[in-house]
Amino acid sequence: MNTTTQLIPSVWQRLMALVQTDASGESVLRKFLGGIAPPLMGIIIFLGIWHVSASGIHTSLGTLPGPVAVMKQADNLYQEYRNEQVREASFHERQKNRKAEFMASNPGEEFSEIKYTGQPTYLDQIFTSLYTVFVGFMLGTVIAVPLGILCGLNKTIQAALNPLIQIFRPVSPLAWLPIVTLVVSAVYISDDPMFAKSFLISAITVTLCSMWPTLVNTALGVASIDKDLLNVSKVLRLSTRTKVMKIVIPSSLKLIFTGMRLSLGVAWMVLIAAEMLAQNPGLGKFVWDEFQNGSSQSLERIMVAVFTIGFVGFMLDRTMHSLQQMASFGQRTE
Amino acid sequence: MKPAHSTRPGYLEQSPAVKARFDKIKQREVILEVRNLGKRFVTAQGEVDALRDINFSIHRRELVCVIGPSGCGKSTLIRILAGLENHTSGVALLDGKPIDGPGQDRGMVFQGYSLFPWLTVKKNVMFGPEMKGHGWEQAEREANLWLELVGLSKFSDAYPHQLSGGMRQRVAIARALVNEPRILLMDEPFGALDAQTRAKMQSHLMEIWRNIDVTILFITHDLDEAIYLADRILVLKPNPGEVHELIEVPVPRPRSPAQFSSPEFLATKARLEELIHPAAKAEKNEAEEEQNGTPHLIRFTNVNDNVE
Ligand SMILES: Nc1ncnc2c1ncn2[C@@H]1O[C@H](COP(=O)(O)OP(=O)(O)OP(=O)(O)O)[C@@H](O)[C@H]1O
Ligand SMILES: [Mg+2]
Repeated sequence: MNTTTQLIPSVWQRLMALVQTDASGESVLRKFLGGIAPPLMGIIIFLGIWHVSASGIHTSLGTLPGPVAVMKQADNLYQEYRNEQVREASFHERQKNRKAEFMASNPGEEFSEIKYTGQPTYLDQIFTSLYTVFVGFMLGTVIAVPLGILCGLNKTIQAALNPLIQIFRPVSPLAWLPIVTLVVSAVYISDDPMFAKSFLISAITVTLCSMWPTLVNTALGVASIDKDLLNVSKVLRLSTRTKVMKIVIPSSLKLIFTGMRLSLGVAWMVLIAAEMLAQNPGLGKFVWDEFQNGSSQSLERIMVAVFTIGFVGFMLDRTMHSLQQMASFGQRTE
Repeated sequence: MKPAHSTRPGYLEQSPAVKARFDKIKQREVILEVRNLGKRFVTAQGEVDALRDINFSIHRRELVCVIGPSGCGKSTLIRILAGLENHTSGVALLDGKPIDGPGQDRGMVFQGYSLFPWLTVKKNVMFGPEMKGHGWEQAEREANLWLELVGLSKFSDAYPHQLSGGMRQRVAIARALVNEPRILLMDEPFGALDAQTRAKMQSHLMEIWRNIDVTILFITHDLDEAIYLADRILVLKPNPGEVHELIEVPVPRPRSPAQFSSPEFLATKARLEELIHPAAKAEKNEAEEEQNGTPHLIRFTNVNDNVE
């Protein structure tokens, strides 16, 4: 036997390791299957029920599509995106050629480029939604974290803000939207707007609806700092600024991230409704447009959107969970 | 059998060596002086005299323990000395200057370690010097020095949650000492540790105290700990918190666990018990008598099938 075979286990050895029992007396393979089987089963049963019951529901847009039709539609949307990419590439190719010709015949003159304006594809819409929710959420965080720190540090400010927080927290995006629309239209007047109005309206609505969990959790985190840690800062005679930066924020980071995770969840949920009404070119508008279109494919496309929204929301939550984990310094989080 | 009181020296009797040591200590400069110190809390239930008319002084490099039943104001006293709480009467002088507010000339070690969980061991210790404006390199050098002194050089890059309780408390001690305080104030620092770790930490603390120029005020409610560590023990009594007695511990130095059964140690302990648990002692005797008089246990078994 040479050394390589000793260092690198053969396929057979690896397979054997899978059926070997580990510390708890269960085989590794069985443990793995035990972890993956129930969720897999849940999904299969769900797809089964959906498949069977969908064919029996007839809507004004035709029969409710089953899983297979929705899958096909997802592929279809992806193909549309690929086609659009090809079209855009050929457009740029043509423009490049035209520019070369133009420069050759009129040297020294400015060539006026034409911006490509293709249809936004499904992927573009996903990214618009992500961008909008990110801006709205960040704006909310930038407002909520400092306010939360103030609340946590100062009982009077806490008492002053508490009723406002309690009243505004449960307000639905649908109620905010008209106000935000009117205010943005009145205040945001510019000849060359940096942001589209619909984008701003959606983002600000997201901010208004989603900032509360961050605010509440930050205040809680700051208020519940170990008193002895604050005493350390007193013994060192730290300035308030240093105290906040070096002690208050780090020690409440875990709860700040918990709040941000909840906020991001709310933000993503609210965004779809906001986009629908504000006509911001994202997933919400996509769903609305399909609903208005009423073509034979509309229901399938809306269902693809539903799964996309769910999946993106899930990924956002996982990301925030990792951040939360990093901020908890050895303590476990749910 | 009756304890042979006559063969033991009373806690007031000191061997010539111990006496000479105390004479030497008393010649040293006074670091901390407390005069007629009082603290009255005003609460919704009314006024509470947590401390009343406390008088004592601590000499340089002395190790003084404060002991007393729960609620007698030990924590309040040390918090006042740390400047974390205001007193309502009298004065506390550090190097002759009245204490008003916290400062780096007093290092504080809390029962709950209170390390920064988001910083490594080394950065925890570096925190004070850095905030003082020492540069990164100097702060790091100082931190390394003190971590070596508490025997934690190997763990300087670990995070507090990766350390045992005893190790964390050693980091907390290093973090307090790195600021080179005139006096180290410790509020039941080993209270949360198991007996074995606690014993190790006691030896460790004495080792540190021997090697560096620091004065220590140490709160505990463990009588053995107080006698083992202290030059003098300040005994407080509750409601209101007043000085019961200031005992000069007659156990010679260097101390070792073997001395726990020495006559001086036992005499001192007996005196402390007397001061702190007079009522509890009487209760215990009563309970014992009752047990001896009437056994309460009923046997649900045959007399012949003994398990022993
Ligand atoms: N902030 C406060 N407000 C009102 N009363 C207080 C306050 N802090 C302490 N006290 C009271 O002062 C007395 C002394 O409290 P302190 O915490 O100093 O006792 P202690 O000797 O440290 O007790 P323990 O051994 O349990 O730690 C107690 O009666 C307590 O109820
Ligand atoms: Mg206490």
